[in-house]
Amino acid sequence: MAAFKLDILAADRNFFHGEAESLQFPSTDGMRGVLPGHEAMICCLTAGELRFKVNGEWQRAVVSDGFVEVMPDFVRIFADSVERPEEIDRRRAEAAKERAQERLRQQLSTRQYVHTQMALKRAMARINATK
Amino acid sequence: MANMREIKERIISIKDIMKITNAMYLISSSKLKKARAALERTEPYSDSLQYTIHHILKHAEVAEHPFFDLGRDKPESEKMYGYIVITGDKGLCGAYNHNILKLAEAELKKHKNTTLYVIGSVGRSYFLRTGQNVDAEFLYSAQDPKLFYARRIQETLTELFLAGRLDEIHVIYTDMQRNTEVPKCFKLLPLERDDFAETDMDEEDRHDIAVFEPSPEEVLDTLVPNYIKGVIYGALTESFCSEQNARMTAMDAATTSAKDMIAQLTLDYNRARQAAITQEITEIVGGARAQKK
Repeated sequence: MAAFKLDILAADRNFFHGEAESLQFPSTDGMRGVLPGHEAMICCLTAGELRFKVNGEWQRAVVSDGFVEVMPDFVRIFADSVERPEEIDRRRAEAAKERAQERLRQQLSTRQYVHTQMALKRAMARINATK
Repeated sequence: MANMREIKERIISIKDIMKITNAMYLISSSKLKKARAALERTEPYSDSLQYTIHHILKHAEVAEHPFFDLGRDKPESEKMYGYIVITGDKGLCGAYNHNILKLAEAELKKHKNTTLYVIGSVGRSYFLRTGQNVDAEFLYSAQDPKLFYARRIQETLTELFLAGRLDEIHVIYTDMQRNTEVPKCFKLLPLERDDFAETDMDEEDRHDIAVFEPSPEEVLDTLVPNYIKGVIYGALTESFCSEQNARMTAMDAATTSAKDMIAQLTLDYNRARQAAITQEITEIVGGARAQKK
């Protein structure tokens, strides 16, 4: 089966490096899929769940903000953090979600609001991945 | 006799200092191990980030974006230069702080209007003392670099840049190259296409024109801050690692010279003791001989 080179790089770890057959990632305007031979594309990554297929098996990862560079024969993903679902501390994510929701109820500056929304999004992505 | 006591006291005080330098050596070597591991984990990210940005800028046809804003045709006397200077929080690390401050001084002399964003208390107190224009609200520690701090630094600075309060932003940090620390100055904003050094990685298969989804502006709006954050984080980890390495080397040298001094002083002490004994014997013999007569 056709494959492309996939690199998933987080700021603090080299998450994945190898051949993949298919990839699905959350972008700012919804989920996007990539198959080998995709048109060259630069895309924004947002917090959510990422899936990629290696040797016919789907693997999952939870990512936060970043960007994706798609070329016909390789894909590079840069994200602040990448985690496997089994690495996620569910309780921590839930606490973070509640904290963020509580903060959203208060009066916030624009920047604080954006931060909190991003934090909420990350927490939701983590919680959804462990369901 | 006084001489002997003096030497003894010096030996004791050197031994006490040696205990401190040795402890600091051990602490910084364990911190260095941690810092080095963190550095190794981020290096692939920051290296390919640099390369990818270069590639994207080269192959994308983006006409206008505020981050490329070179159209600020202000005369040099009105331009505002921002410098992020990363120093240590503490001294006792050899020439580490000195080197970075020297480089910063040299850079500051080039421009008329400068604002400093200093990370680390050594640099902060130095620039405040020399009366430089230091942003007082920019308070970050050089210890334990976190992505979270890098993001906040990036937000502060891009905001200032987009508001037109800063026209150029540079980072002055220490790069860790094998076992030596090299102070470096790196231009962060505005982006210039030829700033990104050509690397001869697989350049042939990379000549497609990439499309930006959803739109070039939107992608650059998130991509550039992301890139800046990555660079700042990289600079922070590099500097932290360099600081620990510099401290370790300095403290190792201090411990070694303390040992040398103790050896020399012990020799002196023994000599003085021997001289005192000899003198005593001579006196006794002399006294005995005088009584015999």
